[in-house]
Amino acid sequence: MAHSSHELATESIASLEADPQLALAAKEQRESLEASIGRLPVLEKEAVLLRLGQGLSYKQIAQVMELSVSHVGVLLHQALGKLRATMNPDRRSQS
Amino acid sequence: MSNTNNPDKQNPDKYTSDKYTSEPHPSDRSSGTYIFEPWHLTAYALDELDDSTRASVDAWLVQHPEGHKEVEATRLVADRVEQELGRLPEGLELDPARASRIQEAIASTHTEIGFDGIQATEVSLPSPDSMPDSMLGANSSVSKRNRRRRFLMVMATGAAAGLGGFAFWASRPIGDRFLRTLSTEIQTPASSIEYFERSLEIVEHDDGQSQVDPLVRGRSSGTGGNPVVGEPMGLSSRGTLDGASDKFSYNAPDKALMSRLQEGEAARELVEQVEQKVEQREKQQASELRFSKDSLGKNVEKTSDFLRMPSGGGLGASPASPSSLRGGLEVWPKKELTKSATQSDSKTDLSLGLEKIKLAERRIQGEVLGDREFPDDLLSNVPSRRKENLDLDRAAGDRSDSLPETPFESVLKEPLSTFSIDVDTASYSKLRQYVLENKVVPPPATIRIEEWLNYFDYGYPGPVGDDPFAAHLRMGDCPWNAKHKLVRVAIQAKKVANEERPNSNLVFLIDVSGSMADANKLPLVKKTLGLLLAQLRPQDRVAIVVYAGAAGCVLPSTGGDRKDQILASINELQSGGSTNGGQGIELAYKIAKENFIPGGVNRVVLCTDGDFNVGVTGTPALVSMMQEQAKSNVFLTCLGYGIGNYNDSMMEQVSNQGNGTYAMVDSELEARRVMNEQLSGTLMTVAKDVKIQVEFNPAKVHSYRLIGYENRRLAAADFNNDKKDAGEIGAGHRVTALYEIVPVGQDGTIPGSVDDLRYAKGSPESPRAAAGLGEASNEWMFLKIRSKRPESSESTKQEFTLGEVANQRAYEGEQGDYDWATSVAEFGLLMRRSELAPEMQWEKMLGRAMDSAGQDAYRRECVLIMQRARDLMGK
Repeated sequence: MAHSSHELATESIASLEADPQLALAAKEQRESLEASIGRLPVLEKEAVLLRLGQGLSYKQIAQVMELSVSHVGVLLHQALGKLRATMNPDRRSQS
Repeated sequence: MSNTNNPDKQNPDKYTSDKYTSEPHPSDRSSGTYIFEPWHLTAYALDELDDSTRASVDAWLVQHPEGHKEVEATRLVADRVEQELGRLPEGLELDPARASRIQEAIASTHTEIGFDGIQATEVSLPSPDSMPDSMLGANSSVSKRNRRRRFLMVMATGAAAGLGGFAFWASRPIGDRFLRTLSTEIQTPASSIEYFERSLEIVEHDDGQSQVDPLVRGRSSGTGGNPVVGEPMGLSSRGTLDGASDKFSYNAPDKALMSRLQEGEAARELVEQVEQKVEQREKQQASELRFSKDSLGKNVEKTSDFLRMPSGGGLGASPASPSSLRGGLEVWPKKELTKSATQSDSKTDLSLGLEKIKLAERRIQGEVLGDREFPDDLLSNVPSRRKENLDLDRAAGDRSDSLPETPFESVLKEPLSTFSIDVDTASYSKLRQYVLENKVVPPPATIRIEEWLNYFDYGYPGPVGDDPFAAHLRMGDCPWNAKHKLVRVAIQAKKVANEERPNSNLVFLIDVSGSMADANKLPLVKKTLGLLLAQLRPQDRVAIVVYAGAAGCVLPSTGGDRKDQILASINELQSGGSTNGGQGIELAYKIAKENFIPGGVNRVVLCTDGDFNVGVTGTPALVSMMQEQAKSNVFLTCLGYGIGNYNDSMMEQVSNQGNGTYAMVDSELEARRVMNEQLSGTLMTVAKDVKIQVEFNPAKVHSYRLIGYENRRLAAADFNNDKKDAGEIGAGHRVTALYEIVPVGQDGTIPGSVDDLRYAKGSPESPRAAAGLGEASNEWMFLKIRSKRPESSESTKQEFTLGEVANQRAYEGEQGDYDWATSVAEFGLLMRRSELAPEMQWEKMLGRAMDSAGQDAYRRECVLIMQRARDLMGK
């Protein structure tokens, strides 16, 4: 996905890594994101991993997880909401 | 994967009922016009919605600018997570309880799928990216997602169980890399015919290639591929695919897995289904369409089962040889399907056959795979492909031509300017996409300034009394030419108060039988209902009755204030089963009568493709049933969907007998029209064939030009011709147009002007007074709006005049609206590099735009677009 936010995110990380101190911060941020993903409820985590890690569509995830598409949609909705909540403080501390 | 390991599966509605509604809901913030669920917003951000829901979200976003932020934030999070997951190939562990079984499954396969094999696969085959387009077919959808889909299919097929998906997913990085490669390699062109036949033959053939799930090929819908029925796909890719399948298939699957599969009821059922399918196939060679609908369609709906069919089903039947999937496949009936399919094709009309295949293909894609035709490689560049497609659609029409800039028109030569209203806004969406997302300057052909102007909300007061329109004329200095004036013509359609509409008691009777699965049937019905939902008021009532083999009420008569509940019921509808229309009609009328609103709109809305094949099926029987029901003063609207089983004469008769109207719905546009006209009638459309004519006073105006509306212009004589169609306008809509006028006395300076006519009345040689009334009055222009009431075939006219600037009565905030409109217009002129606006200036325009944007989120976004566009233009 190459929309603007993605590029923004990429840029910010690239620029962060140029500076060792900031690189550390970026690493911490990544780790915290990883931890956040790890803390998600089982089904939500699976949905996130399948959608964003493996790039499956909702429909495919529904097939693999044996859930309805709307259930998958709700799972991802909730998961991303939680991840967003944990990411926001990070972003604030960066700037 | 199993139910026991997946407690939530037992109660999939748990999320939708409690957790989920406790979250902030779009409805909480909306004015009650949303027609989707909260999670759809996330799905929207991830580009995972079907067209109808996406349209709903789009509609909602228009009214709720704050939603854009949500969407962007979700995308940001998703991208970050995606990045993160891509960065750490070791990935994150599954929950131990669920992972252990998966790990077990991996254990056996892991050793055999080594890097060597993967590398070999990677280098030995051409990637689809390097394939010439011709190989991929004209309509090839070589997209990232498609690859993912294939990858899933291969996983599911090759890994000998549904668990394979997890097995390989969890065995990253090896599995991941391997599968990514693999899924890339199996891009193959395949003709529609080939695909369709294969989708049938694949489960029945046991020639060793059959482990490839038909869905793997389901996306190869191109027409440029090999047209020979049943011919293998491209050799190189086939080699890989088979090789890949072999790698998977010959790995000894885990024992636990095996036993699970052997016990799998689903697998056994599927064996039976497939056997039935083959029988039906044979029986129905002459009626392939029905076949594909009733048997194939239904089976395909069970995608998760379908996925496992070749391997899982086979295994279940051949427990003795766990190391050989092929052995298991012997349970499939050995039918010479390829042959019979070919025969059937030769028997039937070829073009008809093709049509059917396309239909089946569409359904499979629509129902099983979702609607994704956009090439994946482009997807990464164009995140909002919907807008792209929208524009492509438009580009296919007559609007893609680059429209030349309209020159100034002399008032003496042509005092009248006539145009049809246009409330489209797509050009602005396109602009946003080009500038903010693609970061390029939009091609001039895509710039339609009137659509930009009309994209925004203005505070124009509505008409008083019974008039359909109010007009607000305002003149100011032209920002891009100091000698010129700019007249803003603002037309505000009557804002129909919902209370003025009689209360409605609607019972939707929806055919959910198997034949309704096509994208242009049940999905379109849902879309239609969504459109209606937005218009419901609390005092309106809606019930939904569905029928297939039997009829059932899925939504008891529910008030219009329970939109979430209604929406949930709509979304739940799925097609399948036979069609007992008669029973449904009885139930629908019963509910309608129970909730009868005296003096209100009491109506049963039948949405069907007309294929009643169970219960009361004969047209005479149905007709007499309708005659009986019609006595109840409940009206009937028959909406015919689709073209397959569509039973026109039956529908016609039923609706005639049922005090009904009958319309066919074949597109969303038609759905919208029907919903507006048939159901809410005058409610939404306040006027149709709306034409605008402006007459300039030659005593005041030397020449003029209308900014934008290039392809909406009408001949002056069309204005009074009621047979000449023009645009429709809904309640509350508004139209903004700008005229740049050259006042008399400034006429030497018009760029591109022609000399005045020597002999015409009022030419410079003759006194201006000859123009008549003009000299005496202080009027600059005279605006006429001609329109028809929605139900009328004769037009009415409204008239407005623009007097001296000093006499203009402004509504509150008019200056801001005016400045905003002029800024947007100047922005458009700048983007089009207008040659008629010598003094246009980015900085001045931006300053004015920022001052007039106020707190309006859309205007503020536009300011951002303006700034970005300026940078892109190198200014």
